[in-house]
Amino acid sequence: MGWLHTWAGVVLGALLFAVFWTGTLSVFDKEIDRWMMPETRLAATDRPSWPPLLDTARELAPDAPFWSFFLPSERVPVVRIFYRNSAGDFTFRDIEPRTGVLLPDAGTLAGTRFIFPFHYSLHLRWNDLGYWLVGLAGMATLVLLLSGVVIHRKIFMDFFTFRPDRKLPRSSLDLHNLTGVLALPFHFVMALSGLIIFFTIYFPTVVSIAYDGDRAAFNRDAFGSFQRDAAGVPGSLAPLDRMAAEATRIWGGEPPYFVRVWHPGDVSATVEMRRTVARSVDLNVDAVHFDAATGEVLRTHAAAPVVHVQRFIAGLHFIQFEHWPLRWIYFLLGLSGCVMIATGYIYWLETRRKRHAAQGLPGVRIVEGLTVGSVSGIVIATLTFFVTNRLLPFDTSFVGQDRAALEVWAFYLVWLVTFAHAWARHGRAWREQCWAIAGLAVLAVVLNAATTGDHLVRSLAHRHLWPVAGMDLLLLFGAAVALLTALRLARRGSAPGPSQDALKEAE
Amino acid sequence: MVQRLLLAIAGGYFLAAGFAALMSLALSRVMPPSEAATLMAMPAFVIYFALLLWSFAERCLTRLWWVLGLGGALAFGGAEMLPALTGAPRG
Repeated sequence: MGWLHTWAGVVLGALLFAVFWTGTLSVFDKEIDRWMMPETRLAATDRPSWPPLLDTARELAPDAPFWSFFLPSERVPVVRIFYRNSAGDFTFRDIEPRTGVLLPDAGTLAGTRFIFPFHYSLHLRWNDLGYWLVGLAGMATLVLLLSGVVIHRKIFMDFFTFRPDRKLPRSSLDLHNLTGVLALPFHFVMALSGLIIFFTIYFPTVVSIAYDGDRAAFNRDAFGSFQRDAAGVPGSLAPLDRMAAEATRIWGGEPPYFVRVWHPGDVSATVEMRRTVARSVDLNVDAVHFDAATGEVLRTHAAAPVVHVQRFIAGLHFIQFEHWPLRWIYFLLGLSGCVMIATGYIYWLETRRKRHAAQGLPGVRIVEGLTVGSVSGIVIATLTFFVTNRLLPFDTSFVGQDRAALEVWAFYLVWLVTFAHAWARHGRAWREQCWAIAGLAVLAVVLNAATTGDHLVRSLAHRHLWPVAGMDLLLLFGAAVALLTALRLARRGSAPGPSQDALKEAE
Repeated sequence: MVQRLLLAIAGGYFLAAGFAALMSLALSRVMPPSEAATLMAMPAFVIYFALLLWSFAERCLTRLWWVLGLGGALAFGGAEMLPALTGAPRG
């Protein structure tokens, strides 16, 4: 089991770190949205006002086959509408919930549209390649966790052991064991539930054989999807308030969080409402479908027992319910996973450095570049993403790429540069990248204050700006950790790799 | 080693997916097919996990070939044949 743990860890560690890191940030994806989309930093509202919202939708997407509205929640003060634009692209805009005022195009994918999808798809859409790579990483996590436990001799002792004053291999192994054992149940549950969320992607044959290839029938039975064809004859839309009230009554007082109008303006239009996921762990699939013209209930759906179990497991992973202490615990456990991967790499490097140097093997050199680029490199890339967001003016476009795409390009290009830097500046890469992290994190906070006026004194004083304050504080905390790490590394001269490298990524 | 790795990752997946497909088809006689598919697809990950571990622990590569390759082929073959054998319509 030892060789399996070592090889799987070294080969897949970089991918695992990227998934763990973006997953950890995704715990606060909506707060990152507030930070990166200053025009959505609004005071929370309770209920949206439908007539102005529908006017806005009609103006924005008169011929769209559907309008999907995500309603405001504790963490999101705006209505987000998804639709197909005239070019046929799936797109979204944010709307002020009470007045229906269309907020300016955010020009960013931010947390919910870049960082979160990166976590599960790596943004590699071709043949779902990204999903499969992340799935492989998920299975590898399970294998690594189990083989890690098996090669342990004293698992109980290790739980209480951390010797930061010892030599680097020992202290990094201690920290690797500590974070691995302490958060073992969390990592195991997250890896397995992450796989189970996408069971229709990972085991498509199970669904297609049971349904003879008819995926739509499966989605109807399992998740309650329903629509009927447009008639091509203009029709009216009954008040959505009344439908929402009816849905709320059916669900015992819980309101919808999602409303979709199918074929708006058509006589056979329907309205789909989905029950809020804010108050229970499971991501329920409860739905009510209305006839748009009359407001009559056409169909209701609730999960059957097994699908309910699947939605509960998915809910454990997504943590969409309202629970701030738990959200922070998820964040910290996610970070501990990042530390586990980084220290695993450092242990591998430090136990082989002398031998590889003596035998002239290139392994340490290669893996060290991989480690630096995938650990501190992705942190730098993420911070660059934030900084770019505050620097690019609205309506920027460059060589055919719009503003949102440019931010993403900045992320990937800088990430590549960190790998190049890690191999080129052998021995000094950790230190220099720590300096870069500290500088970029502080720069992000300064730019936020300068471009939006929401500096910490102001954001801490207003409840609706707390997401911004939280992000600024974490950036400053991360900068401080990176700074201390860099200074300590400098004092040690060219000795590489601190044991707490991954800690600095407190985002 | 490469052979073992391929066997573990591809063969293990083949058998796990085949077993889950066969079982979900069989179970859809007694429950809605959406339930049967979901019920079998979730433990399929655990089965795959167990097969992965076994593939790395088993010394005899030939046995791996037999169990994973033949077992997976039998499971998928059975899933294809089952509707014809029982004469029941699918789904």
